[in-house]
Amino acid sequence: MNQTTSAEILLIEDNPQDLELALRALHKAHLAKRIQVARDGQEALEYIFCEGTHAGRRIEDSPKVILLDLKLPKVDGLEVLKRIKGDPRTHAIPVVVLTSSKEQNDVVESYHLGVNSYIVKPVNAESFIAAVQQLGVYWLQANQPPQI
Amino acid sequence: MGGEMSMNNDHQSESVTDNATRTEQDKTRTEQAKTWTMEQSLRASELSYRRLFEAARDGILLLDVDTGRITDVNPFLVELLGFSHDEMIGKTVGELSPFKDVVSNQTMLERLQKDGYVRYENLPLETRDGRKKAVEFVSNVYQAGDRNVIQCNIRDITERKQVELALIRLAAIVESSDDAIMGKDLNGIITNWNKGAEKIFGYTAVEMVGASIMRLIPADRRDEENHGLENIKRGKSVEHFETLRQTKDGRLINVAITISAIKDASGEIIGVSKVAHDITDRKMAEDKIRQLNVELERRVIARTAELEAANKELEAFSYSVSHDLRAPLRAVDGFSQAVLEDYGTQLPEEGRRYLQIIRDGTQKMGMLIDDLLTFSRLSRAPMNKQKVNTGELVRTVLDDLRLQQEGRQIDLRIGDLPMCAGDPALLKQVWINLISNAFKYTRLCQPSVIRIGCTREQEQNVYFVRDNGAGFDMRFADKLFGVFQRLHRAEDYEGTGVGLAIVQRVIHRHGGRIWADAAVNRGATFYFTLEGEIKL
Repeated sequence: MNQTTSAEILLIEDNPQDLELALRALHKAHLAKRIQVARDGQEALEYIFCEGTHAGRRIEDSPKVILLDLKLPKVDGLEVLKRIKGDPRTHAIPVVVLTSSKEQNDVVESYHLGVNSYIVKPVNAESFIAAVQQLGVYWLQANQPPQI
Repeated sequence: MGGEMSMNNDHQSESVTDNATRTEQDKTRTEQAKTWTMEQSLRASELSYRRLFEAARDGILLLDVDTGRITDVNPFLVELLGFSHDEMIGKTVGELSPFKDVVSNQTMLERLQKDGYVRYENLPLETRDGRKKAVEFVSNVYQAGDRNVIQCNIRDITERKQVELALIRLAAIVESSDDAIMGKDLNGIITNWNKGAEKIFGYTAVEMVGASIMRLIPADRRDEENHGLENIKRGKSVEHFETLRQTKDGRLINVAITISAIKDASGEIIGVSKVAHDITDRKMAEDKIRQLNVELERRVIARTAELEAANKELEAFSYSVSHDLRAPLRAVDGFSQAVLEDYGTQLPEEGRRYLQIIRDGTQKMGMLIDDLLTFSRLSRAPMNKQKVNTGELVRTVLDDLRLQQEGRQIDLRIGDLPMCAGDPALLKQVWINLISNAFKYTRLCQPSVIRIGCTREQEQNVYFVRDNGAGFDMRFADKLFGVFQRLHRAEDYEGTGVGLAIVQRVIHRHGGRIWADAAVNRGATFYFTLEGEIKL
């Protein structure tokens, strides 16, 4: 979570247990040495757009993937998604919604805003771990991001 | 008329010699000429009288003054009474059947002697062929030459009487009408004013006849009246309109007015007739209805807003359930799993079993939440009604479900399944739930027998799914479709108790009915109908 070096994953998650389980799954699979965590929408936007405590970061050093929860304090996930996809400097960054919500409205709205993938967090531990690890493998290793 | 009118013309030429005689002769010649001229003029007079007599549109009888017997009858009376000329000549008036009971010869003659004339204003007669006539009968005595003659003039006033009667009736109708019926001239001066007008406007006829109609018209509507009068004068009809009028005591009343032109015999417009109907009560009723409608509309809007708010709240609630209830479960399961993974080897067998029970609980809870959300979603999702090919839908559902039943002996037959109207996604859920129940509750049967079909009852399609499985006790049938209600133990048949609640909710949303028939260990049949019929 070094703020000067760019992170491979930006993990936006307010729930401490979900956060810990996700980090545990990623570490177990030896994925993502550099993970940046944001605990609410406001913090996430400051990191992405290099504002506030992240003012020194270069916006070009974007993460390979952003894992985004939808229900967040301060600024909610859909708003964060809208800001990322609405800004030419950031709209190419892959964003994966990782949420508890199965609501069709959320799914449809997310895709409308340009989300790259939508994953419903499974309640079952094995399924959850598998989902997070597959995400990591896919977006960090299999996927070829654009050179910004 | 006989020779009684002829003058003495018996002059002979005489021998006259002297002047005096010549003068005498001249005189006589002048007399003779005079006489001749008189004679001529009398002849002419008689001729014109005769012509009048023959052509008159009144009946004329001539009677002998001494005997009272008819001496002459004109053609009009012959036609009027239906008796021939000869039948009447020589009779007294009283002897003629039409006059028999109404004119006594004696009385008439006596009165003629005394007054010189007799007049009956309205005599009812019956003609020879039975027609009723009303006549005016006037007798005069006058001198014709050297004799007195009685002339009776008989005028047919039947038609006039009928017109008079009609007018009296009309006047009575006008007078008794509850509507105000008024006449006015082309300057708007009132000429007629009935009782209805008195009642409606409060003014008497004495007050209004001769007064201007403007008295009734509120100041801001004077133009309306002028305009209406102009139209009538120009021959345009202003047939029917609703407006306000002012009564004597200053109230404004709603009236429906019909106006039309009054024309004289030559067709010239001489005035306006106006019928005003008091519609204040009707207007009040209309206002009341309008008011009620507005109120109803307002309530509907308020109720709709309430429902929308409730629906929004429900959505927010579901969202919350969907999102927040799962997170702690994931923590319980995730960290139980972490304990097992990281410290499993340090735990005794029993400890590991307890952790597994905790994890099973979270899975069960997760399913309950999912089913509850499905139930809620299907209950409020907008309906997308269309023609649904039931047979095709059921086969698609079976293709998916059969994959999970591999290795089982299932005798499954599908009957004829008619098309229906409904939301395909919702109906698919119905068939999934009913058929998977059939698979589930026949798990222990060898073989499992499942029948899917449709029967026709009371002109409705009744779809059914029948199995030979565990069935249930019909005493508990009322609990069958309740949310979280189960009639079997979870150890025997897994489930959350939401499936049939979903089925019932969907069927009800389609306006259909659902019911079941079953016996313990002898299978169950679920029936359902869908609203209406579609013509295919």
